[in-house]
Amino acid sequence: MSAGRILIVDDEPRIRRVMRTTLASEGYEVDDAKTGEEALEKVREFRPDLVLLDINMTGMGGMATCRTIRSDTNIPIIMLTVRNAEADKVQALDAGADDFVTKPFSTPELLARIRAALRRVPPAQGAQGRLRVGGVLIDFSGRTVSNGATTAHLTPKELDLLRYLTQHANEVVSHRELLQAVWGPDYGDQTEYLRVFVRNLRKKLERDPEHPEYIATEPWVGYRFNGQPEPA
Amino acid sequence: MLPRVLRLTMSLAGVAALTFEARVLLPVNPTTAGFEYLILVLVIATLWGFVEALAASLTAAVTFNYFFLPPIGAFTIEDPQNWVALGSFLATGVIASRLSAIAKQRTHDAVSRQQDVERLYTFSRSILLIASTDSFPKELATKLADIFELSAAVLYDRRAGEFHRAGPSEFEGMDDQLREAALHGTSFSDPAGRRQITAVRLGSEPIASLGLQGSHMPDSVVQGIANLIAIGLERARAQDLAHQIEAARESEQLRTTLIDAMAHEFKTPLTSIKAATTSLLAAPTQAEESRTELLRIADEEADHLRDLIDNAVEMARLDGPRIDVVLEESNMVEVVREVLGSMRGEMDGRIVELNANGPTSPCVALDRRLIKLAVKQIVDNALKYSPPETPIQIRIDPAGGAVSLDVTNGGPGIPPLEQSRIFDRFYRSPSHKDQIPGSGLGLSIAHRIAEAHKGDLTVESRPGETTFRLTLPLSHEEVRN
Repeated sequence: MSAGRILIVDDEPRIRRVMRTTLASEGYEVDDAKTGEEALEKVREFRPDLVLLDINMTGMGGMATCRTIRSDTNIPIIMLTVRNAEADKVQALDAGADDFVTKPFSTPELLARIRAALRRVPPAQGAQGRLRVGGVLIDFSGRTVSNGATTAHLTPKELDLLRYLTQHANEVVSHRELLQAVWGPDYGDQTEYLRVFVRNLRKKLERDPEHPEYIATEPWVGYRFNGQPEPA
Repeated sequence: MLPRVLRLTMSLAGVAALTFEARVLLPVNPTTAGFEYLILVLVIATLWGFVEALAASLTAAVTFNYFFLPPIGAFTIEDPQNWVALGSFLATGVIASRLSAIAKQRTHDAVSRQQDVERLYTFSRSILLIASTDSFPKELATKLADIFELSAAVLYDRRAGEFHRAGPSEFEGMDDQLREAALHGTSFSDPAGRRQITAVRLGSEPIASLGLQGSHMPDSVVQGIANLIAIGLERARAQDLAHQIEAARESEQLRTTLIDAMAHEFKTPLTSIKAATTSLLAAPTQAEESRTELLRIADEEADHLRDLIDNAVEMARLDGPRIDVVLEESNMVEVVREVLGSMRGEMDGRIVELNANGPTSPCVALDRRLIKLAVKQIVDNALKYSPPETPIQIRIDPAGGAVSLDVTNGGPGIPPLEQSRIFDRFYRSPSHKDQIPGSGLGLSIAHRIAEAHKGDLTVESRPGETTFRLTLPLSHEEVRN
């Protein structure tokens, strides 16, 4: 049985070739695309569970492709980049990527990140369906959140993050704990991931994201979810 | 101008001639004779100056008395009124000649000042036109000697401790005074030998000194020259500095650009190798087929990495000031085929059509290694800047004494403003540079290789079609000459 369907998007044929071989030998079903435009087509036809997307490509470019995929799907996206600068990482996460890998990478690291991206935080008792916290309604099965004024879709990682925070409501959850719970045991120092995802969650959840009511920052420690979630 | 003795003689002869005319040829009364003498004195004052006019008026007074005032033929004067007439004549003659001489001197001064100003202007212009090179101070001295018609000019540059001499004769034996002037700002003037030394100051600090010989110029002019030279020297120094900074900046840019390009280019094969080897290490028991493929990838990518390193070294070497070509008779079609064969990886299944026109394949005198590198850059450029689904067309055409290679791609086209810049080192189109990796060196080096072959690389572009044309002369002679 296939471990999952992965779409590789890279304009370098040699990178596509080695990734195809490696991922196929790990039991994944693989397809590839050489441009952003082709990737959008393949996302519709091949229906991948995960997309590996190169940032530097001719034509549409990785960032624009990522934003377009994210605008109408929740497929986990891992971006591939040659530059290891924080600004690039934040830009990639902002564009909707769930994670990114810097070239050259080792196969076990890439596989671990793929597994982490495909993994879901196990739903706790009662957190399967819908939760109401104050004026906010979270629908885990429908992947939406509404704050009374707007309803927004959640990406898988946003959903997992929110699920973990609500499971530990009114407790301070450290950066490391959150990263390991949502992204996997190999993570812990990537606080920029949390900054980007929490900011996006606040935009969808809070009435005034600048002065958050529900997701509070505990400086230098982590985050705390305020309010008592109740099944709705 | 005539010597003074001759001028004096001619003045006296003039008085004699006028006396003869007024006494013998056309006899006139004493009043008319007196006016004629006055006119003569004024003419002499205007032409030759005060001394000649004074001599003429004294002589005229004597002859006027002798020939025209009674008793005629004697140096005595009977009527006291004639004393007044003679005295008035003498005074008028002397005053008029004095005034006329002053006016003449002033005119002369004004002309000479105008000439000085014109020369200073010419000198300032020529300073601006001197190309800033190592010989700038020497050029400065030469221009100075030429423009001010000096027999010798010397410029002592204190910073470099060098003397720069110019002019037909030598400015000798005063090096110590020149050093002294450049150090302490002292001046020295030797009107007898017509030599002047002055300090060249920038602000209040002396930076050089100037020695002039063969023309005694007013201090204001010498000061003007010194100021212009100070500005010129400072400008040359600033330009030198700017060149040094520019060179350092270019070399820094070359370094960072190569590093950026290397980071991207090199990481691709490195990523493949790393992914393949770590996969093999992590799962040694995977299927035989997959293991073989991963090993093959690692092997091929190692070769690719080696090519990249060779290429980078070659590019850095060709970025130097000179390209040496080793010519050999080569078949252009064959050369292009070899290049395309080596680029299969980059082509990634793209359609590249090669068409050779003419009855036989053209043989060209070229440096195979360099031309292959240039063709590779042009084809690589076409692949990078055109959509993957569009074909690349290559045409080889012998035309006249040359062969042309056209590489056409179906890219979006190069804006006209950018077309003139794409062969510049490090130039990258602002619309692509963040998306498409590159160093901005490829086309510049291809262009230099074409020029080293006495050929050319040009571009024609419109939306949807861009053609790069490499033209090379057919015969050895044309390249060598």
